[in-house]
Amino acid sequence: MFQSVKKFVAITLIATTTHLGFVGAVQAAMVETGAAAPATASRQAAVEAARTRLATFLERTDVTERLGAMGIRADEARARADALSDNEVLAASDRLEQMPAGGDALGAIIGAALLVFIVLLITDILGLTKVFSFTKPMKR
Amino acid sequence: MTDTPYFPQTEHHCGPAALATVLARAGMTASPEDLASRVYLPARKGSLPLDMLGGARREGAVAATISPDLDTLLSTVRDGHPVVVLQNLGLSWYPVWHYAVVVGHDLDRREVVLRSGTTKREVLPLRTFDLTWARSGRWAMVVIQPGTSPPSGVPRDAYAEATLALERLRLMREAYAAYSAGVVRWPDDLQLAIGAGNTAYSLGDLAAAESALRSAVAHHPAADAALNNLAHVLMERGALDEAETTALRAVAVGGAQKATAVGTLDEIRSRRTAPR
Repeated sequence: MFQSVKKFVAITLIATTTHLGFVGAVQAAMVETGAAAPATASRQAAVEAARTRLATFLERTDVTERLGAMGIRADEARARADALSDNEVLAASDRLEQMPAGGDALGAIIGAALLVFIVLLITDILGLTKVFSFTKPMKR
Repeated sequence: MTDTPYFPQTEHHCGPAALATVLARAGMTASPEDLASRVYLPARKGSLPLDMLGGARREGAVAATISPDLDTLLSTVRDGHPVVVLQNLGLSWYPVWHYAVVVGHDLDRREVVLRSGTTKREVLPLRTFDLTWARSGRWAMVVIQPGTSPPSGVPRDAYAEATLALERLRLMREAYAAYSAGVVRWPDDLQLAIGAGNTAYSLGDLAAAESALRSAVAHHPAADAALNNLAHVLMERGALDEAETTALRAVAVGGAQKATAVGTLDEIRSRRTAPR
């Protein structure tokens, strides 16, 4: 019994370490611009995570339905998100995380939350959070 | 800037109209109707500042906010760049948001000139304008045609970030032109130089890529990403000797890109030993 366990562990180790060997060999490639300079390279992982989080959020059915009600098609919402810069995406994603209902795939989102998110998106950039509940449409 | 075009807005569409105005001034034509589909948010009856920036980028422009102060705004306008500003024409607790374009100013008379809504030439006392502008946190954005020298009001980081956003949109021709203009202005900026090299590479212009990356390496001899990418381009150009020494330098740095540099070195060496 003990022997077979040892054997199993050994085989598993061989299999996983061999696999690690494959993963470790990096192909010849160009380093992407965003990862190239130390100043931006350090936050590259965070930027990619934020872009993924935002993309996942925009794929959810409840979100696309809500966006549709606001007059924006899902593919247009994605295109708008794609046109954001890294800093803008990080700011948006931070807002998504702070939403009461949770912006992750597990959290349930209430209908108004998306509107809150979008409004916060503006106000966060502008620093106007306190006044925004009084917003009325642009008149001119 | 009396020659700045004017697009009178239709209801609630001050955002698209303002964007069309600055794009046209930058030499990039887009109709307010087309822009509306990209920046307007029907449920809010308005356009979000983020979508204004993104909408300009989707037209291929470098779009960035400028520092939120009156001096920067006025100097940017003096340099020939009209500036989109977000004003609050209402009260702080009852805002009426509005985008307009600052096209000129008269410091003696303390006035600014705007293209605003349905008014082609709106002249406001500087103080009145600044009150409405301050209530938006002095949000202001410029739109630059790629290849044009960056306005002095746009900080280097903001310019690099806006250009990277163009590259992410795969608008490589525009991104390359913008990176190149950025390198002229800030020759020692690593990200701009590598961006110029990478976008030239994506466009298939290996000579331009080599030249940009050589400049990056000259200014930053220990930048492993620049060394790796230069080695990669040299390899594809068939200059295998120099490619190998450059890749060795990239590996020797022992930095964040070491694994990629080792991969590049392996590839160069396998091409050297491969039968021709």
